[in-house]
Amino acid sequence: MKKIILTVILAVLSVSAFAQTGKSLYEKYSDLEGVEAVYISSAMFKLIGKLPVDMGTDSVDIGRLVRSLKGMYILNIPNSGPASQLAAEVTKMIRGGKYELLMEAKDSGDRMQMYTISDDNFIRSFVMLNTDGDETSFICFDGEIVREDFEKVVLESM
Amino acid sequence: MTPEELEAISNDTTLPAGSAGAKELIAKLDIAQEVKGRPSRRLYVSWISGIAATFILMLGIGIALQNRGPKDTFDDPELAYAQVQEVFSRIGAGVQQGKDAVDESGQLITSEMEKTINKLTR
Repeated sequence: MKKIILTVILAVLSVSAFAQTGKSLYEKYSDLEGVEAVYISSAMFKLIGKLPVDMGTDSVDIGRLVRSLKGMYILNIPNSGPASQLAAEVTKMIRGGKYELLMEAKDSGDRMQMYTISDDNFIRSFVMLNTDGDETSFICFDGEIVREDFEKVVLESM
Repeated sequence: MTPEELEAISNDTTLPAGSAGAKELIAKLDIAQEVKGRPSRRLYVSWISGIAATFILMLGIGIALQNRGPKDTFDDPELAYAQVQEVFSRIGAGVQQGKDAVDESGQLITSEMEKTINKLTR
């Protein structure tokens, strides 16, 4: 009996060691009908970093930012689909990880939240969850992004 | 095992001497312990190895599944770059939305404060 209990506890522990990530959410929802999904791998980011195009202005070096990305997951789910389920799972992922709320805005039913895992110099993970009247969007990317680069690129994109 | 049981085993003349005898003695000790309802050391070892093997196996399966990544959506890095630009413009729009909300609430606070100040100074 003890053996069975111990085995079950260890099995549960080993399964919970693999908590939800942007990747696991992407894998779960990307194949569902009506879901728009985009994945960009670390290898592709390296290739983008080598493109012979001007990837920056005087103040922003997008090339360095792109090369520091390790994976980007994007899901757009119509609200008629499993959008609320995705939103609930993203919330669970945020609570289970070391994410901090970067900003949140609500406006007549629309809701946008941004979270990061970061320290003073680097952003290790970024999550954006946006729900509007028609669809719910989930954007997640991981990497070793220089905080300054990220802030500059976002400000330039505004 | 009690000292009496051990003495009984030591007085057992049917047990052969040498290494074969030692093995038989160990087997008897194991049986004696199992009869008394306590698992023998050997059983503990087999339990622990079984549990450890299960754990390692599940961990291995988990790691293997985690490392199997999804397929890249784009084959062309230029298209992927366009997507990255779009993502950053969406983030920028989100930040702008937040900034507008802050500006709006700031204006509300200011106009409320003005009303209060007007009332007070009237």
